[in-house]
Amino acid sequence: MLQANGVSKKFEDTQALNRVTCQIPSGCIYGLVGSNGAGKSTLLRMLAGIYQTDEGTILLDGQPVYNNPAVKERIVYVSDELFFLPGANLKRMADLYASIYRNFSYDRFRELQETFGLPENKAIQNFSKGMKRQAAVIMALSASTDYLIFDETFDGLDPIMRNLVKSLVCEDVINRGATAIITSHSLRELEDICDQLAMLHLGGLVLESEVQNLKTSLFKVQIAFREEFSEAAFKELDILQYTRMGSVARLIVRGDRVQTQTLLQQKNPLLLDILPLTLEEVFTYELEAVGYQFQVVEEG
Amino acid sequence: MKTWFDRKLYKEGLRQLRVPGIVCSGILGIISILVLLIIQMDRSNYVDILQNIDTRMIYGFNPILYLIPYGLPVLMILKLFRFQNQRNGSDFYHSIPHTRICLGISYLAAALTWILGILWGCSLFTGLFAQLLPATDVLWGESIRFLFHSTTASLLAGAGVFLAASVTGTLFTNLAASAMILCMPVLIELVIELNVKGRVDYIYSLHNIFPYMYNTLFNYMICVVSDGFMGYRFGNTGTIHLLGSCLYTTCLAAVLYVAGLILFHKRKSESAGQPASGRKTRALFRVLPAFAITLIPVSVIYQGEAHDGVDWMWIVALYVFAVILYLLYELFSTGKWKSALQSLKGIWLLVVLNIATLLVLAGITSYVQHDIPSAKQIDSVSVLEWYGYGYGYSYFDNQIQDIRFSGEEWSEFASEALQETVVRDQEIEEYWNNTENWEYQSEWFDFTRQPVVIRAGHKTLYRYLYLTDAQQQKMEQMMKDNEAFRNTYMTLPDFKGGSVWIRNNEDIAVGDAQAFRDTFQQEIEAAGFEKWYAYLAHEGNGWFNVIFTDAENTERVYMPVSRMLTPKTYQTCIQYLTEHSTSELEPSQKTALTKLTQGKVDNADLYIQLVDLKADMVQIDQWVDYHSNVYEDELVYYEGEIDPVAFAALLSEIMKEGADETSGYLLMVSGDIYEPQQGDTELNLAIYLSDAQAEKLITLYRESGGDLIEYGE
Repeated sequence: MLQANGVSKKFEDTQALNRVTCQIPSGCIYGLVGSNGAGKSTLLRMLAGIYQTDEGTILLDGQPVYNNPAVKERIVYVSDELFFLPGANLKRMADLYASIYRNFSYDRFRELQETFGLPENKAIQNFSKGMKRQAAVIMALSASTDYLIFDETFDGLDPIMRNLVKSLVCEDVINRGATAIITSHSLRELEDICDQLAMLHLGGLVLESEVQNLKTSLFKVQIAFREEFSEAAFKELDILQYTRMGSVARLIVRGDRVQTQTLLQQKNPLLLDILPLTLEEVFTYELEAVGYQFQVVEEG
Repeated sequence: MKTWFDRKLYKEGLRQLRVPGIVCSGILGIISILVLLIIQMDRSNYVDILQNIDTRMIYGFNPILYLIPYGLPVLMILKLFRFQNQRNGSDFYHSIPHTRICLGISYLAAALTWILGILWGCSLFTGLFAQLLPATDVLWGESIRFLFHSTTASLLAGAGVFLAASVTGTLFTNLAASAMILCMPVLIELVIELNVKGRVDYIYSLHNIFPYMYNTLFNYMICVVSDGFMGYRFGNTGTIHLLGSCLYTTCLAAVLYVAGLILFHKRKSESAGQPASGRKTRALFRVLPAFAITLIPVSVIYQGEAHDGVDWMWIVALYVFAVILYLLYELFSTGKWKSALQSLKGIWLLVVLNIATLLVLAGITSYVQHDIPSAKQIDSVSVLEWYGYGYGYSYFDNQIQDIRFSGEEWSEFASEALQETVVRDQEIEEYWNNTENWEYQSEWFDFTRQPVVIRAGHKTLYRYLYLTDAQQQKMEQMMKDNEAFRNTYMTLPDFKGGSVWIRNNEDIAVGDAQAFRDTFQQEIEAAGFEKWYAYLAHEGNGWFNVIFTDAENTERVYMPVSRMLTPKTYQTCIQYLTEHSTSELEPSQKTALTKLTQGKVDNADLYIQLVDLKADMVQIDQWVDYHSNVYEDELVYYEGEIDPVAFAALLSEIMKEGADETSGYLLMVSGDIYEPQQGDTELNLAIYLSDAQAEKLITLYRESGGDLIEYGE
C-alpha cells in the first residue's frame, strides 16, 4: 500500500498541498482528479519520491519513499512533461531505463514497441506528441515495477491508443498485481478504468472513494408535491444542491439511495425520480460544494 | 551499491558524453597532426637549438592542449548534469531508484574519466606523433610534469563547475556561478595582498597567508603567459611549486567536490530552471559580480586614505557600474525586469561586503605591520634576488635562495634590519604624504631593498629589508663566510647528459661537454672563491659566455669565461669560435659582398663584433640592418650603425690583405646578404685583424656615430 499521511507542500508563497491523506491499495487502479492547480501533479511527484514533503510522510508498505532506492525501484513515474535524452531513439531510451531499473525487460519492450508500431531507430524528438506519450508508456511498462504513476498520460493519445494503453495497464494490474495511479482531466476515461478515485481541490483532498461507491452515494432526485414546499422539507437529507423549476424540485443528494427513497416516499410526493449521476456530474457538484464555481458561457 | 556508486549509471554517463568526447578528441588530434606537419614543412622559421632538431614540450606542438582545463570540464560536466536545468529532466532523475549521492558520484566519475582521458590521451598522442617524426624531439620529463599540473587544474575546474551546477538552475547561472566559485577566492586573495603590499612597502609576498600561487588553475595560466604560448621551454614559474601546487589544488578540488555532492544531494527537483536552488544562494550569486567590481573602489579608498586622497568621481562611477551589473545579473538570470528591480532590496549585502573587506584589509595590514619577530624567534634567513652576481636572475642567485642562513649573527641582523625597515618605511610614508616633497628626488632614501625570507617558528615571512650600503656589505660578508654559499658559487652546473654551448650569434656545441665542464671547474677551484666571486660580482664579466643546458634543454645557465682566471677554458672557447667560423670567403660570398659595396642588394642583416684580445674587451658589438625604405626607393640603415656599404668595402679590402693571426684583434661577422634573384648568402667569419685594420674599422664605426663599448675583464 502506498500512503500519504498529512502531506503538505509549499512552493514559495503557494500552498500546493495542505495536509492530504490518502491510501492507495496495491493491485488497484487509482484515479486522481481535481481542478486546475489542485495539486494533483504535486501529489504524484511526492508519491514518486521526486518532491520531499514539508509536512507528513509518504510510505510504501511502511517504508519512506523519498531518497530510498529500494522503494523507488518499485515505482516508475511518467510525467506530464516527458523526458527523453536529446537525440535518443527508443532503443537508446530503453538502454537508459535498463541501466536504472533492475527489472527492466527488453522482451516486454520489443513486444510493446511492435504493438504500438513505433519505429525503433527514429529520434524520439521527431515523434508527434502522441507518439512521445506512447514511447513513455512503453518505457514505463517495460520497467516492470509494482507501481506505475501516469500524470495526464492519456490526454495526448488518440481514442484507439488510449484504449490500447488502458488495456495494457489493466493487464499489468491483473497479471502482475501492479498498482496504477493515473491523473486525467477526462473523467470518462477514469470512470472506465479506475477502481478508486480521489478528488483534490486547492491543495486539499475533497473526497476519496471507490468509483462504484461514488456513483451510488451521490444521486439526483426530482420531486414534486401537490402542496407548496421548500428546501426545509428535506432537512433530514444531505443536500449538495437544491433547485426549483416550477413545481418540481431537483435535489443532488449524498447518502444511501434506498434509505433516501424510502424517506421521500413517506412524504407522499406527486413525482419522485431518483437518477444516477455521471462522474462528471459528481465531480462538478462536489467541487461546487466546496466553493469552486464555474460559469456557463451563454451562447447567442 | 546504489547508495554510493552504480556501475551502470557510470557507463550511462560515459555513453552520454561519447559524442562530445569523441569530437573534442578528434579536433585536438587533428590540430596536433596539422601543427606537426606544418612544422615539418616549414622548419626554417624555427630557431634550432639541438642541431636542427626541433625540441619542445608536448604543449609546444599543440598549444590548444593548454586550454583543456579551461574548456573541457565546463563542457562535459554541464552537458551531463544539464538535466538539473530542466523540469522534466530534473523530475526524471529525482524519480530513479538511486540515491542522489550515487547519481552524483557515478556521473561525476564518468565526466572526469572523459576529461582526464582526453587530456592524457591527446597529449600522449601528440607527443608520440612528434617523436616519430624526423628531426623533432619531445621533452618528455617536462611534459609529464606539466601534464600532472594540468590534471589538477582540470580537476579543480570540474569541481567548481559541478558545485555551481548543483546550486544553480539555468545555463547562464551555471556558467556565472562556475566563474565566481573558481575566480572569486583568488581575486579576493590578490586584492588583499596587493592592498596590503601597497600600504606596507616592505612586504615582498603574502603567499604564506594566501596560497593562490599554489592553485594550478591560476598559476597554470601564469606559466603559459610567462613562458610563451608555444611552450617552447617550460621555465621555473610553474615548476617551482609543482608538488605543492598539485597537492594544494587536489585538496581544494576535493573540498569543492564534497561540497558539490552535499548540495547536489540536498537539491530539490522544483528548483530546476530557477536561477539558484534557494533564495539565499540566489542573493549571494547575484551580489558577487557586483562585489568583484567594488573591490576596485574599495582598494582605491583604502590606498587613497593612506596616500594622496581619493578621486570620488571615479568611486561613485564604479559603484554605479556595480549596481548596474547587479541588476543585469538578475535580469539575465530571470528574464524579468520586475524581478531585477525587486532585487535591489538585497543591495545591502553589497554594502556589508564592502565594509567587511575594508575591515579585513585593515586587520591584515595591522597584523603584518606588527609581525616583527625578535632575534630569538628567528630560525633562519634566505636571500632572494641577490644582485651581487651582477646578472640579476642568474644561476647562482637562484641556487642561493635555497640556503638557510642561521645562527645568532644572522638572527640579530635580520631582526634589527627588519625593525629599522619598519621605521624607515614609516619615514618614507610621512615624507611622501607631505605634498611639498613631491618635486624632489628621493636622494635621502639611500638604501637597497633586499628581499629575504625570514623563518620564525611556524611562520615564514617574505619581506624587503631596507639596507644601507654598510648593512649590505655586512650581509654580503656574512654570506661569504657561509660554507654553503661558497660551495654554491664555486660549483658549476653539472647536468647529467647535458650540453655546453659557446655563446655566439649561432651557438656552437662543445664536443665533450663533460671534459669542458671539468676543466672549467678545476680552473675555478684553482682560482679560489674570492677571486671568482669578485669576478662575477663586481669586476664585470668577460665578453665570452658559455651555456650549460640539461638533457632536456629546459635549463639554460649562462656562465662568463674569464681570460685571467680560466685561461684554458677561454682558449678552448676561442678555438671553437674560430673553428666554427671561416677566415676565407667563398666565391658566392665574395660576389654578395661586392654587390653590397655597390648597394645592389635587397637586404643585409649582419652582426659585427670586434674584440681586443689583449685587453679581452669587446669594442664593437652591433647588428646592422640594411633594408628598403618604404617611402623611398633606396636602402637605409639606422643611425648609430656602421655604414654597411663602407663596411663591406673595408671587409673586402681586409680579405684581400689577408688575416694576421698574431694580431690582437678578432673580427666576427655573421649574418645574411639578400641579393635580387639570388636569394640569401650566409656569412660566418672570424678573422684576425692587424692593428691598422682594426683602427680603420673603429674609425668607420665612430664616423657612423657609434660609441665604442668596452666590456670585459
